[in-house]
Amino acid sequence: MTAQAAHLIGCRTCGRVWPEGTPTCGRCGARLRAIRDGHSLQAVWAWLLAGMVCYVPANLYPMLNTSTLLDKTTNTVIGGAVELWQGGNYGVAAIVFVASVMIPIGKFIAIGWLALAIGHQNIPGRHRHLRLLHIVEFIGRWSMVDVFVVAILSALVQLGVVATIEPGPAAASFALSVAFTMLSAQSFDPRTIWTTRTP
Amino acid sequence: MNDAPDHPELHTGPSRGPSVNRLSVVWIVPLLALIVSLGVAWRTYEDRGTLIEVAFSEAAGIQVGKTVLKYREVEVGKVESVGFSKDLSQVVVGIRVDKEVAPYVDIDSSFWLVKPELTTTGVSRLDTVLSGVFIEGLWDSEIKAPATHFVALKQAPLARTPGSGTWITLFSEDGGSIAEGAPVIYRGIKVGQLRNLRLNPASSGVEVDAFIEAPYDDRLSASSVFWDTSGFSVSLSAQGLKLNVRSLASLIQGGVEFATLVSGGEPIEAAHRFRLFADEATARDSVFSKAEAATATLSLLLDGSIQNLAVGVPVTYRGLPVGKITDISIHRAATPAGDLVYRQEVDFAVSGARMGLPDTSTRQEVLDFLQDQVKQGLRARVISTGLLGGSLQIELANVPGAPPDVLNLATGAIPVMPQVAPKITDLSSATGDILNRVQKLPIEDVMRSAIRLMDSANGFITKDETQKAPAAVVGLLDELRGFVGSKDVQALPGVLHSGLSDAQSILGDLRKSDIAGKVTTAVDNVSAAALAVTDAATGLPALVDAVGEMASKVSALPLDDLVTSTRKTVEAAGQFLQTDSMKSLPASLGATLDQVTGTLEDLRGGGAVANLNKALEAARQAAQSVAAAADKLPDLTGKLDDAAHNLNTLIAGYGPGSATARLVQDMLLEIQRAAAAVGSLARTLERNPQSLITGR
Repeated sequence: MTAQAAHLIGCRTCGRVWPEGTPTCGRCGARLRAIRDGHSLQAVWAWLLAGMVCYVPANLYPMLNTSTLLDKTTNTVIGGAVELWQGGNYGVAAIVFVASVMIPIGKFIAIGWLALAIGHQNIPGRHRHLRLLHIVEFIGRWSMVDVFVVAILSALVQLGVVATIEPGPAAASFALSVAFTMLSAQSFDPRTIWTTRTP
Repeated sequence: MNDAPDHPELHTGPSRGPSVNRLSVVWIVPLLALIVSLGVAWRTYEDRGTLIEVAFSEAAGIQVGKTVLKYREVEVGKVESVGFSKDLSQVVVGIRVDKEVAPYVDIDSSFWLVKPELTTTGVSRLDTVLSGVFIEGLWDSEIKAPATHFVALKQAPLARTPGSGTWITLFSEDGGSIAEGAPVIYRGIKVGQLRNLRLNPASSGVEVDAFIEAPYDDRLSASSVFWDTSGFSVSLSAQGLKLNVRSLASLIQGGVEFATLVSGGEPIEAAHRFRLFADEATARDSVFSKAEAATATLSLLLDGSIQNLAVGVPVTYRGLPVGKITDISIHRAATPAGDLVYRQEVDFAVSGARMGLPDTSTRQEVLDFLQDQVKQGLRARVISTGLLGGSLQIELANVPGAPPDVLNLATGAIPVMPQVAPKITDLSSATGDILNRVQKLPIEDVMRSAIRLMDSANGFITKDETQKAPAAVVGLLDELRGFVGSKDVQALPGVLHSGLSDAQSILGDLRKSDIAGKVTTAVDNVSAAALAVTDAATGLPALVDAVGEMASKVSALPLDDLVTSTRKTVEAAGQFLQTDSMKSLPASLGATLDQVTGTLEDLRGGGAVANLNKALEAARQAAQSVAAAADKLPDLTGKLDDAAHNLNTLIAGYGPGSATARLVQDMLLEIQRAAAAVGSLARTLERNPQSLITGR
């Protein structure tokens, strides 16, 4: 027996259960969504797509504009990581690479996979899906490390002629990309994992 | 819970049906993101500008992605690629030019590399040491045919913008010390630069482009003259020594100065060709040769051979240069008699403007003016000038009283200017005379004689005998010193002492032996002798004859010769004393005199003085004896008188006037003199007893 079978619907905000068809929660005023409401999955896909779109310029445009007395360099995310790697800073390079490249792309894949899995009920492993969703939500916030680094550097290194660091266009794109991906993960309704498709 | 009964009235409407079929509004977000991203991408693509290629001979310091293209010091592009041309002869640099300026980068654009430079005029673009080199582009504001491939300039162009100056070309026979980038100076201000020094392909000279910056190129005109101020010049003239250094830069890399001497010259166009003169004087003089229209060429026929005239030598009128000699040649003409006459023909050009005519006057007007002047007495003559009068000029001068003459302007030939006698200062010829006399001096003979004399002197000096002479003199003196210092001489005081003792004893003996008595006896004897004479008077004449003969013999003695000889000897001695060798003796004499002094000391120490005193005492006693004897002298005198009386008697017997009587009288006088002498002796001894010792 499930709530779905009992034609009940739970409020995602306060947890009170209402009969199916109730539009808003009588206790907290939140809008009640039917489990089968396709809005959830659509939002996931939409945010995910927006995040992926934003991720492209984030990698093509320079992340940092570093101008020193003698030199003026611009670095993209991957270019910076490669430069750090070539400069021998393997640890930093690994962190940058993981935070800026592996995690966002991993999130894209994970969310996409979950969305697909929920869309097609025949994919097995519901418990694993739930765990994956939790991991994605947990990790999502750490993706902002890059953006924070850029923000802190830009704020600190303002030494006029000697050295100045300014955020490039990629920083904003990256931040948007991360934000969209987080929204995408948030849009997931975990209940949908357990819903069984009515034949 | 209070929500159970009334919750349905919140919203009891039916659900909106299956939402799978409806699109969520969330889809707007990725759509927007996509649109924005695409928009940004499109703008980036649109804004990236055009790619041009600039070929450099070498890409010193150019870095991909870093080296920028600048236009008026503003960044307008960036190097995207560095590669080679197909034949590897050039470096092709791909530059992405910003969109705003890209249309202006047309076929007229030029590019060059800006890098730090250290030149004699200073350091430039030092900033590029830190920032790295950059490529500078130059294009105008007109959009012409587009181009994407350019060849870079080797160095920055001097004319940055159109109308910022004028390019001209200077040509010269010799590059001198002009270097690339040397300054062009106008009245001491740098107004331009030299570029592209090259050999003139058409002739043997050199060419160089000069860029005169904008405000100053107005000063250029067709009558401007350029000259080389390279290095420094030193000129020695009647005004003194003059050192001229224009600027340090021109000292090192040369320089060119120009001046516009004649106003109203035609304005020039770009690439006008100017001659570059070697120095300022030449350049200034060249103004006359330039104004061809206002120049009249005349000639001068010189009979003598005048050497110091040359092409370019100025022609002066009232002290100012009005022209210069243009040609010197031999003029051949036939006299009316048919003989050929060769003369020196000096052609010279006279500038009408310099003679006071208007600038626009023509050659004919100048000639007419000269014709007029010649009628009033203008003549040409060769004058000497310069510090020593060594260089010559042609002077046009109004000579009063010159025979009337005219210029022959009818023929096509160069008119011959009437001339008067040259006015050449003879300083140089006078100097020549002096030199000739000096040359004629028998310096060589004198020198030969001097050399011979020196040789002889040298031989004399180097002779062994001469070399030994000083040693001989020294030896002589040594011997003398040795003699003085010898025991014999040292013993002399003793000898003298004994001698004086002897003298003392002799005088004592004299006293003892009663000399006075003996004198008296002698006088007695004389008296007796006189008596005997009286007796033997008969034999007197023979005696007298003998005496007379003896006297005559004495008088015949060659005393004069003796005196002469003596005088000569004395003179010789004097000369000898004057000789240098004698003068050099004192040193040795000093030593000798020291010895003498020592000897005298010995003499004093040896008691010689005491002995002498004793001797003098003895002498005094002797003198007293003599005085005592002299007391008896009156007796002697009386006896002598007696003798004389006897003689008188004797004479009286012979009778007065006879020869015998004269002789006897003479004899008597002698006897009287002898008596007087004895008397004076006695008085002398009385007064000065020492004379017995000293003999005086």
